[in-house]
Amino acid sequence: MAGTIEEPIGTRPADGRGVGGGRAVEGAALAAVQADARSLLAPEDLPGASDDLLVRAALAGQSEAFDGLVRRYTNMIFCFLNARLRDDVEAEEITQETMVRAYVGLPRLRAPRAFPSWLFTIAGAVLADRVRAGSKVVPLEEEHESGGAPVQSPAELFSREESRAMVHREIQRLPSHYRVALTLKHLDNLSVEEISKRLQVPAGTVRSRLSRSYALLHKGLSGRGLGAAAPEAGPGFGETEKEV
Amino acid sequence: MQCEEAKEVLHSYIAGYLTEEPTRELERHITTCAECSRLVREARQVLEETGSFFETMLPESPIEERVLEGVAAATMRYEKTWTEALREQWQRAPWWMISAAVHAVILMLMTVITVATAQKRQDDIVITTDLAKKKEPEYDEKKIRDIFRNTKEVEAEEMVENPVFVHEEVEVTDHFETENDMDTHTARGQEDAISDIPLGGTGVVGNIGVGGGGAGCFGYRSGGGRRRAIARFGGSKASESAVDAGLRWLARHQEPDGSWDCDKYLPGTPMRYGGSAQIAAGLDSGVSGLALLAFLGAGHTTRAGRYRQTVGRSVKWMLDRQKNDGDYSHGGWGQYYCHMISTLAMAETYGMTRDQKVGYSAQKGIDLLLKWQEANSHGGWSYYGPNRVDSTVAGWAVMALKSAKVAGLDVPKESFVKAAKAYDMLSETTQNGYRTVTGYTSKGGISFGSKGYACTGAGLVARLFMGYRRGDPETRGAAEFITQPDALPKWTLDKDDHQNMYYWYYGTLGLFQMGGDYWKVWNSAMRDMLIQHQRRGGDEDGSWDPSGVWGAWAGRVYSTSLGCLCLEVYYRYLPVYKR
Repeated sequence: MAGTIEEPIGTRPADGRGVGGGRAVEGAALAAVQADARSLLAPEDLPGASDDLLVRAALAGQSEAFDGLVRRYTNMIFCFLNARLRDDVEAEEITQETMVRAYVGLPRLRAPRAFPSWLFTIAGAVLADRVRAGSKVVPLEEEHESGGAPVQSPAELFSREESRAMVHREIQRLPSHYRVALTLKHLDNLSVEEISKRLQVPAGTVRSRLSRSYALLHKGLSGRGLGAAAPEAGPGFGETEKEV
Repeated sequence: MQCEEAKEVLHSYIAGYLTEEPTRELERHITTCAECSRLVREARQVLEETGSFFETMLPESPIEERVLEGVAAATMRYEKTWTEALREQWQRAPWWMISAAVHAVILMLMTVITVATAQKRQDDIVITTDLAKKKEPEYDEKKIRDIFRNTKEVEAEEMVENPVFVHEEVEVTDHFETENDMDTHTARGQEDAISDIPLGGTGVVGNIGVGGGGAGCFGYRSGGGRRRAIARFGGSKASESAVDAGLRWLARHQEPDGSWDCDKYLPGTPMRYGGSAQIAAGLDSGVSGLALLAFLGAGHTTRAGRYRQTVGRSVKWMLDRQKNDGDYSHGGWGQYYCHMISTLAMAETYGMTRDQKVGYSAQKGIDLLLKWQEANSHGGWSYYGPNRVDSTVAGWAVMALKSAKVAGLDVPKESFVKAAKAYDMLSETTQNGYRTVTGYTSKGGISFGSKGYACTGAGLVARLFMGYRRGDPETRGAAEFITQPDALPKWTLDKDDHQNMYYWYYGTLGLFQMGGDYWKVWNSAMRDMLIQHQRRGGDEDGSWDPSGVWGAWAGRVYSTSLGCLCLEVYYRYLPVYKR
């Protein structure tokens, strides 16, 4: 019985590139090489390519494409791990392990454009494995920055440190595709159009994801600040809710 | 604007995504509503702290490069044992596939149970069952080898007024209904490679390995695509049964460890050009690579086809014997040929199975080839130091690189450009200024007595694989040179070395791509000669005698594998251009 081979679904539309090439040796040879590797990207296309294209190129064997993905999302995964662990060294190790697992598991990624969200899922799994294996890693999940009674005054009267800590906690509870959008905007300083291109989702969707993220963070903040019930524990680090 | 509405849009507003009209309304509202005004201030703070999150959490020094290095190191080290890989594949099999297996078993059981019903009255049905043994047809080595004897013409149903209910025997064959014998249509090689069949492919010319649309560029090697290709490009039932018999011989003579023994079947072979059992003893990896290619060429992989076990053992042997630097060979004189052939075989295995472990291994093999090219002062390959190029050795290297490229491995395009220049250096310039006839290690340099046919064949294949077209003067000149009457395949070992298996292999691959009259002339000489001289009967049934020029070096596994590969040409790499 044969095993399955999971190939990325769908093909790219024809783009007219490739079949040229004149009599010159270079021309003919180059044309042939360009033509047969449709998924591969020219070096100058790598920085601007969408995640989707990079994943496909990486699957076609272009190692620079996977390197590009690692460059794009190393800091994102590191930041969220660091927020959870407050340990630079552990966070870096787990980031690296996450990228290795992503490399090995890439053929099993069904929707290439969900790559960054998928990294969170993997990072969550790596974290869980480490905890299970008895690593010294103890997620800070349960630690509260203040155990005191809810403050009655409006949130604006909070000390800057307190509200900052709360926002930072809330960010970690967001669904992964919101975290990805926030990262691209605030860490990589990309415009909505650039984010839209990179993630292959419409600009309107990017805007609504960002606004919705702020709303969710705000809700968590005012929940605590205004003395309402504390927000329920959100999904874990690598929550696997349906990604859009 | 009311508070409800304001609360809905205020986060778009602080992010700057709100359009003009609602912005004005919201701004008017917050001047009058203290509550909403406070919410907007809070939201601004949220936005700001979101930014500070990343600033706070970022590493003190950049870690990307360290992570990249770690990933590179870990993925090179990523090696699983073979059994683990197989088990994982099985575990990954989806439920429907397991279900399909169960159904297949049930269907198989149904074929051996014949059900007869006699209908006397409406409510009185007698069912008798009878077990009929299905006898495996015996393999008769003398009989014309016809693998298509089980296929039947499909006839249109006749309309019958009062039909009599008859149970027909259901025949189960090992033939799947998909184009490539896999359980589902699964692309092999680049999934986007164009097909030259109507409605197939998506527009990119793979130059070689142009295959059947959804089946990918190696997809014509089996199933329905293969039958069409045989009929279309000059194969025959006899050529197919010769391939079948050749593969049977190879499968019967595989060593238990998965390799093929090069010198084991030498005795009785005329020794020429200093061939000897000692030399042959170091060439096992080369002939094992050729044998593996012969199975792959007919669509047999580790996952599909009748010789899964044989192919699986062979691939495992290759994986086990590869050294850390990527070398598959036993070193010594044969290092270059053996490593290139093995690399070609592993790259094709990866293209057809997408097995990651094989992919890593083949990439390591390719990297070593590239390293050798880098070290060569002419950008080619040789087995005598870095300062010369051997056109025949380089031919295998180019085939390996091209197959790897098509399979999706990492091959820089400069490598092909450099190789093309090396071939130019070796090729004579005709009066019209085109370089056609290729020498061995220099212009006009001819290997032994072979008149330069073999080297020109190697040059033709290499050029076609590097991207030359069949209309180019270089390829046309080479094709004319090797299709002159004296150059055509002949099974006679004379002073001009007409009997040269690897020349035939190069010529067959190259002229098949050239097509037209070149191919007609060559094919009729090659095909019928090979079928006629295949051994019949006894232990050697299905093999070809290694009585040609290099037979004494490489033995019966070599000659049999190349015989199969020549006759598999009709579907192995489909031609680029429509006929």
